Amino acid sequence: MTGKSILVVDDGITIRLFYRDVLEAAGFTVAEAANGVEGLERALLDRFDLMIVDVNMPKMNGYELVRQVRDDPALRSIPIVTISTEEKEEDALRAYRAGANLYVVKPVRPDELAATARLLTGGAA
Amino acid sequence: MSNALLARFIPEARDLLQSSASGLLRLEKSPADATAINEVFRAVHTLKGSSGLFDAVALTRLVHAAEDLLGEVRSAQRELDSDLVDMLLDSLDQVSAWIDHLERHERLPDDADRVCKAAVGRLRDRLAPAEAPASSDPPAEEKPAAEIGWIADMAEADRLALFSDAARGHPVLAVHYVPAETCFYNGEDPFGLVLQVPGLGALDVVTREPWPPLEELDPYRCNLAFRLLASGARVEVEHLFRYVSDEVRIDQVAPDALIRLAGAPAPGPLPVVEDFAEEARACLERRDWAALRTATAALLALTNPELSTASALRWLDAVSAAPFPNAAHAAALIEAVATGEPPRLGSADVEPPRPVLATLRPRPGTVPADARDAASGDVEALARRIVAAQRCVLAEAQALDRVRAHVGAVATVLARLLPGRADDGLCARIAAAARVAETDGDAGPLLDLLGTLDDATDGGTAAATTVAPGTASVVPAPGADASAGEAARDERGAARMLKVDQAKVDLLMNLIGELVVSKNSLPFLARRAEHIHGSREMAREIKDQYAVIDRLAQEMQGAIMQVRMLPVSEVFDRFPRLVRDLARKLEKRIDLVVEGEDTAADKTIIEALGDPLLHVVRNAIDHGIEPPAERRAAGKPEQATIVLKASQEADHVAIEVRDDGRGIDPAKVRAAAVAKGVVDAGAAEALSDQEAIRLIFRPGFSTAAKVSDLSGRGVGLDVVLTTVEKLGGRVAVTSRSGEGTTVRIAMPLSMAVTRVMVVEVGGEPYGIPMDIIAETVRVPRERIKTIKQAPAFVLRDTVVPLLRLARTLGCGTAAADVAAEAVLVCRIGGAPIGLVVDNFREGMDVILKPFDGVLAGMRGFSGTALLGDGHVLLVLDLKELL
Amino acid sequence: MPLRFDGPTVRFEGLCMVEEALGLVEHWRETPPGTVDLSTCTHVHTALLQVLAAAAPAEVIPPSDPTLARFVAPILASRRPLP
Repeated sequence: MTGKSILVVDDGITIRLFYRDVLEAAGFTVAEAANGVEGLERALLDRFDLMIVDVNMPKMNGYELVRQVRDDPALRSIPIVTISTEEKEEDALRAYRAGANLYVVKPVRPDELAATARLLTGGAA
Repeated sequence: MSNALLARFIPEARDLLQSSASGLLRLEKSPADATAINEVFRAVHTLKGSSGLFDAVALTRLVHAAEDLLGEVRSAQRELDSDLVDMLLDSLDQVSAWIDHLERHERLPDDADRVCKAAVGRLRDRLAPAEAPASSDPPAEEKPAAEIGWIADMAEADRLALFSDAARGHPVLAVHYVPAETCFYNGEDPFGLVLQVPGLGALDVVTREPWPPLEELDPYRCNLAFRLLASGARVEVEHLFRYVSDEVRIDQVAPDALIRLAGAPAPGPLPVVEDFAEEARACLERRDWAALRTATAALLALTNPELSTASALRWLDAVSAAPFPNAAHAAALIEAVATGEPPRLGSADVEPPRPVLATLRPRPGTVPADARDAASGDVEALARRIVAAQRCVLAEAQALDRVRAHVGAVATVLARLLPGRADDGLCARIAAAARVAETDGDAGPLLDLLGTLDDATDGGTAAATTVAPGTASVVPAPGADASAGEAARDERGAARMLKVDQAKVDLLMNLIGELVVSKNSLPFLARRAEHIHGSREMAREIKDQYAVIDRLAQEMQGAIMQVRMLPVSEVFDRFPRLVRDLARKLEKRIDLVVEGEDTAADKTIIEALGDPLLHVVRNAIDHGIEPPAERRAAGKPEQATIVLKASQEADHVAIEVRDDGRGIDPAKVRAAAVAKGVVDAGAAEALSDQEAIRLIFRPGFSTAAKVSDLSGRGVGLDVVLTTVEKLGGRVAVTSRSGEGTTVRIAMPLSMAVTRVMVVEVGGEPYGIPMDIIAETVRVPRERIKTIKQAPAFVLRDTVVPLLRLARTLGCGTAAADVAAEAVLVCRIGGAPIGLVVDNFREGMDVILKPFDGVLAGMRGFSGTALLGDGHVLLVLDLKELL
Repeated sequence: MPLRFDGPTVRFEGLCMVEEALGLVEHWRETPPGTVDLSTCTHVHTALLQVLAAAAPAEVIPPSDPTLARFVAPILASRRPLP
C-alpha cells in the first residue's frame, strides 16, 4: 500500500471501475464521483493526494471542476490529471489554463496510469 | 479484460444507448433543444470512452463516427434531418446488437469489422460534404510533409486512394512499427497486427539487417520493420498497438504529404503540354474543376504512364476530384506537368510546423498532451513531460493572472517529482520560487528556473544561493483536515444509488415469499396446540407471535415491492421510436405525447405491459390514424396525435392509449363480427354501440380488410385482452366515429402476492383468486332452478348460473346430500357465475408460481402455491377453465 | 499440416503459424527453394514471411485472398535495410 488516496471523477461507470482496478492494484486508495458537482463535494470531504478528472461530464464538466478546485484555498494544491478523448492541442491548453497539471488522452494504458499516479502522488520512486 | 469490467460496461452501455435514442427523437422534434443534443452527445461520448477499454474496436469506431456527426450537429454545422436520425438510430441499433453479443460471448461477432466499415462509411459520407476544405485548417498535430520521407516509398496507387480518403475527412496516419527482435517469443505476430490496422491503405516493409543466407537465418528473430499508411482514427490505431506502444510511432500526415511524383522524367518536351497547361490554368482560374478533370484525362490518355508527367496528371486529377479541391496544389501540379519538374506544393499553404503534442523535450509553450508516447518502462520520460507540463500550466496562469490559484498544485507536483531527478540546490530554489509566486502572484522566477531544467546538462552550475524567505506555505492548507474528513468518509450526503442485478431482487422476493408462507403455518400450529395438545394458552401465544411476524412480513413485502417498482417509462421509452418509424413507413404524420411516465408498478407488470401496449399502439397507427390527405379533408390537422398516458389510481395503474384518428365504426364492427362468425346477427344487433366496439377484442376478429404487415401478423387484439386479464388487469375501449379511440388498460400495481380463497372440491383444496370472488353464499337446494337447461339461482334479482366445480375438474363430490350448496359467486368478464364447491376455507396470501416443465401447458390453472402445512395448492384460472 | 512439402514446391494451406518456420528453414537448407504456393492459405505468420523473404524462392503464387495478397507482397520484397 502506498497509503495515498486518489479521487476519480468520471461519468462513465465502467471507466471508473477500470481506474479503480488499476489504481488499487498499484496500492492506492480510490474514491469515485460521477460528475463535477459530486467531485467537488467529495474533494471537500476527504483529503486526496491526486484527482483524476474526465473532461466531458454532465452537471459540471472537468474544466469547471478544475477551476473550482483551484479557486478553493483548501483544495488548490491537489495535483489534477485531466483525461479526455480529445487529442487537439486547444483542448489540452484549455485544461492547463483551468489549472490542471497534466492532460492525458484516452484510452489510457494501465501501466501508464499507474506510473502517472505514482509520480504525481510521490507514491513510489 | 476482466469480466467484472465487462459486466459493468454492458448495463452502462444499454443505459447510454437508450438515452441517446430518446434524446435523438426529442431532437428530431425540436432541433433547437440544446439540452437534448448535449445529452445525446455526452451519452455517445461516454460510450465511446468506456468501450475503448475493451477489445471491441469495431464498436468503438462506429460510436466514434456517430459522435463526430453529432459533434457537427451540436456545433450547428449541420441540420439534423429525419434521414440523419434514421442513420444514427440504425447505428445505435447495431451497437446495441453488439452489446448483446458481447454479453453472451464476450467478444464481437466475426462480421463486426465488415459491418462497422459499411456503417462508418455511411456516416462518414454524411460527414464529408459539409466539411470545411481540408487544407484550410489542418489539425494541429499533422506532420508537415517533409518530416516523413518514407511516404514517397509507398505505391502511388495507394497514396492516391488515401489522398482521396483524406480529402473526404479521414485523417491519414503514418505508422512506423519496429517490432522487438524477440517479439515472436511473446506470441506476437507483427504482420497479423498490421493487417488489423483500421483503414490500412499502404504498407512498406524494410529489414533491420540484410537477409543472411538461409544457413544463418534465425527465423525466430524478427528482422522486419513496418511502415504503413492508414485512414483510421488515431485512437483506434493506438488502441490496436497498445501493447507494443513503445515500438510504434504514429503521426498524422497532411494530405499534401502524399503527393509525390513517381516515374521517370520525360526525355524531351511533350508536344501538347503547353496547350494543356494554358487550358488547365484557365479552368483553375474559373474554378471549373470538372473541365480541369476532362482536360487532365485527355492528356493522361496521350502520355506514357511510366513518366513522371503522367504521375503529375494523376495527382492533378485526384486533387480536382476532392470535395473541396485545393487550388494551390492544383496550380503546382499544372506547372509540374508543364515544366517536368517536381511540383512546388509551396510552404505557403502548408501550415508552419506546429508543436508536436508528444515530444519528450518540449520547447517553451509546447504542450505535452499525450502521455502515451512514453515507453511503458520509461517512467523518467513521463516524469520529464509532467515537469514540462507544469511550465505550460504556469505560463498560462501567468498570462491569465491566475498564478496564486494554480501555483500551489504545480509546487506540489514539482516537490514530488524533482527530488532525485534534479540536484538538491535547484529543488530548493524551485520551492522558494514557488512560494514567491504564491505570495506575489508572479511566476516569472519559477518559470526561469524550470527553463534551466529543460536544457539542464547540469542543473547545479548556476547555483545562486539566495533563497527567498518562505512566508506562505505551499503544502496543502489544513482546511479540510483529517478530523472532519474522517467522520465524513464514506458517509456521503447525496443518496447513493445501487445498481442491483434483478435476479438478486427476485431472490429476495422469493425468500420473503417463503417467509410469508412459513408464517402462514403458525395458525395451523396454534390450532394443533389447542386441539391436539389441549393448550389454549400456548395457542394464544403462538397467535400473538404470529401477529408480530405477520406485520413484519408485510412490511418486508412492502419494502421489497418498492424495490421492484419500475417506472412505466421502461415500457414507454420504446414507443417514440416505434411510432416514428411506423408513421414514416405508412406516410402518416403522428405526434406521440407521453404523459405520466414516472408512474411506477411492479416489474412483472411493467414487463408484461410491453406487448399488449405495442399491439394497441400499432393498431392505432395502422387502423386509427388516417393518412394526412384524409385528415385534411375531414378538417383535422394533418398531424395526428397519439397520447400514451399512465396514471396511478388507488391500487391500479391505468395506461391509456388515445388517438384522434377516425375512430371505430360500430356498424362496421358488427358487420365484420357477423361475417367472421364471431357473433350471430341477432346478438350483434342487440349490442349497444360501445359493446359492439368491444367485439374487436374477440378472438378471430380483425377489422382490417387485408392483413397489414404492421398490426396483422396473425394475431388480433384478443391477445391484448388475454394477456392483460391473465395478469389481473382489465381493458376498456371507447371510441367516437371520426374523433378517435381510447383504449384503457388497468393493471394491478403488483402481482407478486396473490390473495386466494381456499375451497374444497372432492376433498382437495383449490385456490380461487380473491379478486374475482364477489361473495360466498349458501344456497338451499330448493332455490336452485333449472333455467335454459342449466342450473341457476336468483341472487338479489340477478340470475346466477351455477357450475359444479367438481364436475368441471373431473372429481367426485364429497357431500352430495347437503341441504344447502356452498356457492362462490364470481365475476368473470362482468357476468356473475356461481361455483358450487364442497366447502369454503380460509383466505390467504400466496406466492403464485406458474407451472413449468411438462405442466407448463396445462390449462385452467394459473399456478401452484405452497401452503403452510406443506400441501401444494392448485390455483384455478377460472377464465380459462370455464 | 498447414505446410506441404513437395520437393522444391511448398504449399501453404489455411492458417500458417509460427511453429512452422523452423521446419521450413530446415527444408530449404536441404532442398533449394522452388515454387511457393500461398493460394489457399488464409494467414501467414510474420516468422514464415521472413523465411520467404530471406529465401527468395523462384516463384510465389500469391494468396487468393486479395487483401492478404496485397500486403504479403511488400514483405516478400523487403530487401531494403531500415534507414
